[in-house]
Amino acid sequence: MPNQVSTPRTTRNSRGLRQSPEPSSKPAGISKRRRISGSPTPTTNAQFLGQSSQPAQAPALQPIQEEEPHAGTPTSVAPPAATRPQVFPPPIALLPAARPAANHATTNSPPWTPVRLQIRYRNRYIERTPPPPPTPKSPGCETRRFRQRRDKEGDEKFARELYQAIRNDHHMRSCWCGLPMIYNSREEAEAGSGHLRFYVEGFGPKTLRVIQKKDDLRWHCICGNLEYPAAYKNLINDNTSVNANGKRPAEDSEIDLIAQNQGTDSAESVERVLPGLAEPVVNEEESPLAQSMWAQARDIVSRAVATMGGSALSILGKIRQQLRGDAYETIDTRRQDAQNGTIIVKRVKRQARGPPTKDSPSDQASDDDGFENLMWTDNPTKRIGLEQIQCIAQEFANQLKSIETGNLIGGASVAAIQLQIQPGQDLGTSIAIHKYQEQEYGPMMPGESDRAKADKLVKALKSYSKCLNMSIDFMRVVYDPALFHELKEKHKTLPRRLELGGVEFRQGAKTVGEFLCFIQSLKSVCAMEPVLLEAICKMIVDANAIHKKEMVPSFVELKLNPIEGMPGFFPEDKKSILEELSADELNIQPLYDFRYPSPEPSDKDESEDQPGDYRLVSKPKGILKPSREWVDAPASPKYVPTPQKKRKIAFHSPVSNFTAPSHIPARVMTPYEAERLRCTKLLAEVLGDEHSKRLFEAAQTVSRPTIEDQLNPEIVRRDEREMGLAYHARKYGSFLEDLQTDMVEREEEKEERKKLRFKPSPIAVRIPLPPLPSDSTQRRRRDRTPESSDTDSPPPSPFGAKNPFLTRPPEPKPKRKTEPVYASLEEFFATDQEGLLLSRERIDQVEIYRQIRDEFEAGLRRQVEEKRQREIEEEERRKQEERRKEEEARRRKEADELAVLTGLRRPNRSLITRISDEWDSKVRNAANANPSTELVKTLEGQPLTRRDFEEKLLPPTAWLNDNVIIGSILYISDYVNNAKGASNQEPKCAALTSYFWPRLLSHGPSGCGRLLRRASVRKANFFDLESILIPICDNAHWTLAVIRPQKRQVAHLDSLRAGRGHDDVKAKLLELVRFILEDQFVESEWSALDFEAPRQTNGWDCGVFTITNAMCIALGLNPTQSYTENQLLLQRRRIAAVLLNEGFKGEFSLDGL
Amino acid sequence: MADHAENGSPGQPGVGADAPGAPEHLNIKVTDNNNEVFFKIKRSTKLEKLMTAFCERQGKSLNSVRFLFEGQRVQPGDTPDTLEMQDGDTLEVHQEQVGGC
Repeated sequence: MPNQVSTPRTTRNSRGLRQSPEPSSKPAGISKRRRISGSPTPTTNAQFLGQSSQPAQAPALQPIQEEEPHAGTPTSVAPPAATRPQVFPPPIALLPAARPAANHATTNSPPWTPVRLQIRYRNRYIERTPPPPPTPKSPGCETRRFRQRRDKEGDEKFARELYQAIRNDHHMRSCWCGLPMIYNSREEAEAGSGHLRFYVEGFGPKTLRVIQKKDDLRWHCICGNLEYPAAYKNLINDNTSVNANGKRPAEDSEIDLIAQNQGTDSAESVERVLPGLAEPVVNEEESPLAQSMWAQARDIVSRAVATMGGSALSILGKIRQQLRGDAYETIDTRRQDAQNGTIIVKRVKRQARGPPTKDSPSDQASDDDGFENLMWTDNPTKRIGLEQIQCIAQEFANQLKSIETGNLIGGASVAAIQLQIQPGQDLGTSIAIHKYQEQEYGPMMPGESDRAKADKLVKALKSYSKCLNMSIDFMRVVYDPALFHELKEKHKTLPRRLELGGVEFRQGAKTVGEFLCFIQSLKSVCAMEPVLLEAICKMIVDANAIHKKEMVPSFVELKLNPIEGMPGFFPEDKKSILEELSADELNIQPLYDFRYPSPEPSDKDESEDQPGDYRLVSKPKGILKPSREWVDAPASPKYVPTPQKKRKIAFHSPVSNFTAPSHIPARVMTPYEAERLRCTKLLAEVLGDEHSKRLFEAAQTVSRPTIEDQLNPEIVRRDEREMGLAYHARKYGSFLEDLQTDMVEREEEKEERKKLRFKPSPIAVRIPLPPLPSDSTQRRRRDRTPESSDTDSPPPSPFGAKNPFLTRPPEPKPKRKTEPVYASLEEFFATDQEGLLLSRERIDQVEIYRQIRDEFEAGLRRQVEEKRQREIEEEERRKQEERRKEEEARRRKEADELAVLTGLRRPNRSLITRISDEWDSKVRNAANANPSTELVKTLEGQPLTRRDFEEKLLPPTAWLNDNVIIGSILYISDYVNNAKGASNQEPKCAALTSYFWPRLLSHGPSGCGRLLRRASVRKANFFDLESILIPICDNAHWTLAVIRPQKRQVAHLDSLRAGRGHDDVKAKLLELVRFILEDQFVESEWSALDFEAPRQTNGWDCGVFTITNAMCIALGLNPTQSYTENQLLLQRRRIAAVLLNEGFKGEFSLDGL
Repeated sequence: MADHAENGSPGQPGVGADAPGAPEHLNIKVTDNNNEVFFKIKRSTKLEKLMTAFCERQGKSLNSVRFLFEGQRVQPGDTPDTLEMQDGDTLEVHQEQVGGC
């Protein structure tokens, strides 16, 4: 094979179909050629083991299998058929093909068969509808409007769309009453009930018809309740099948499903709708579904083969060549990963093989893929192990036995099953079946009827036991040593392809594989032995290989290189064909994209289709491109129901195996509903007519979704998309409304006519029949639409148009009646005036009494409440007061302690008071004085000018200069000395200028003799001094240093630190003191301490703080108790005034502080 | 000189100043760290004259500088006599002290 495509595929996708070359590039002759040259012993499937031994097997399939060219399959095994009759064919559903034919003959109906043609990987649907039946003549009982509309739309379309409109309306209102009946035939419909009657004509599902009975006054909708119709519930809830394609399900399916749901027996319904396909169940173990599927397939194939002849054969050969799944080789070997316990499957990498060409007819040409390293093993059970196989088979047999004996238990969940299990019952099988049912048929929903649940369970049981049987047979066949040896003898060299068994067997192998996958998935809920699990995984791989006509991995083993086992062997870096994958990822992928009906037999030619046939559609629109070669294909079919991949058969609605979602609430019945149920039951029993029965059924199945569910925009949008709600509402809403009003008018006319004929007796009490539905309908409608409580106007329908079903009262309007009919008790009492008059007075009196009593009680309560509130508040206030007092006492105590320490006391009056207007104006004048004028001289002799006041003192944020500070400090000490009667030579308070501190720092204490002398600070009088005030200007910040010789204290007040000082300043002060006192200095006596002072929080007031602190300290006052920061703006004016006043005298005297 | 003054012997200059035989003129150095200016003034001359002259020469406002003699502010009305200055004494010129924060 020279042009072999050697791109190794690592994907596990076994369907290498798209990698095959374009079909157009290949002449048809290749297949013949291959057939001749490629197979040394041409065999056919018909010769294959077991097929001829099963007489019940499809004879219809026989011809095509015999004629099938086995291109490229030279290695198919053909053991003698009779040797193993119990093995082949596998127990897959197989039907005698005669049955459908007979059925056709008896029913004499044109079969409606969706046929999938496999041609160059494309599936085609051919939906052949029977010739349209003659339009039923419009019966006389139909109204003109109805007839006109129907003629306009066409019978089929009209009925279908009308039905959908009604259904949609029911859905939108969540109507609980059933949809209109669909009758089996026109006769039934005529004999039935209801204003509009739908029936199926002929045998195709597309032949829905509707007739109107204008004299039948039972409109189909009798409720205003909130309920999904059961049929629609199915429809909307199966989101997997409805919505996965983003398309609506086929209309057929909907209608069929509704028909099924309304029928008593679903099997009958199927038969009715599709008479040619469904047939009575003969074998209990075979589901009717599978039967019909196979029957249909066989039918199609046989017909195709019969008609196509030779030309079909060549096409078939071509197709087969393309469809062969042999583009890859797969061998799986497996081992168990010891570390994490998961089973790791080693698999041979798949390598793409190019199509065989003329140059290399043999597809065994490639030698570099490692396949040659494989050889026949000696025993097919060697890999898996005979014990394991037997164990699994035994287990399956046990399960079968359990199913037969009914030794099982069902439940809503695995946990429930585990809880309720009784000794002796088979827990494992129960769980398995439960899971199987959940997987295949959906879980049991609380809203489901018991019948549906039982149905599901029975189906699951049947299917499960069938799978069990198939699996046992599978094991018996595949791991039979005798069969294996025959294979070995037949193929001396290992074949690349192994066609084992017939088509059915290979399909069955897939089913078995899937079932084993399912069994393997059970390991999450059931404890399974790892050995068995591994064995199952291996079987899955085997089944997969058989399904794909590949070499069964259990049949082969790797040739061991003799030197590999020797010690010291270094593994070569040879191309490994092994790849590992976890067992969890094992799954059986179908040989082809579809699995219906079988990959092998191809379909008939399209030439069989009549020109008038319904349509011819390429199926997987989005998946595969349309065939270029299909010349005769009709142009662009517009709409096709795209079946799901999982759909097994076209007429089997995807909706039928839905899983109900959890948002459908469990049934909750109000007393009203219970009452209605009782009444409808009674009616149904007494009257016994169909209408009553339907009412009863509807009442039985009532359950209401929440209003939120209905208004959920997402749901509305989804419904809109799926059902074309707006479309149908627009189209048929008004029409239905008209029909309805028409019907009502008719009835009224009849009523009038009756009245003319004979007068009703006045005492006759009119009981509306059926009483509950009509009444309840009216009431409920009113309840649901608040604005329409007083009128009969229709409430706004959810889709904008007028809702056709909400307008019509089914009975004559009350005002026309002679005898009133009361809808409720209130109505009744409202009309009974006299009876009420008697008691009204009394009621009023009682009402007044009650009001008075209420008010009195309320007043009392209020009073009590207020009193309690007051008490609480009082208590609160008292506590606060106490707390405040405590706090104050504590603070005072602390202050006292500090005062004892510092000798500072609380001022007797406020330190900073308002200055008089006189001084205020003087200060203002100073700020406006002539700049060069000397306004005042300080004690130092420094003249102060307007600049000092205007720029450096009075503006609120001005920084004070040395003139102001020194002047003020000097006046302070002067006042203190004056007040204490001390002379300037023997002062009590000394003040140094702000230039003292820089000189002290630069020249030391010895350099400050002149300044100290000028301040009269001497060693002699040092202890007489109460305080020495030293203003310090350091880095544009004024602070105050204080020496209190009498108390042997030095302190430093920094307003930014709330009076706390700097240690270096205090150390310097002590140094100064030591220098002054010389030998009199006793270090232990002296202490450096901090005074408390208000904290400066701005960036401009430190000079004012310094002056004020100096005042306090000089006067022996506690600064924190003397002033606050926000007084300092006033203090600026006071300082200015003091300076102008030349000291603390007169108004600014500090006496009495 | 400063030591001499501090040593509590103010009598000598004072006597000298008072005494008619004492030298009439003093050499006084005025410095502001950058510049040194020497003035020769009479003992009885008000230092205001010196200060104004210095400020004019240095281009400064009299309001914004402070003249200190041995740490003591020199007022405009002071004379070398009142400050007990001697020949060769130094006046330091400082910037006005301003502080706020």
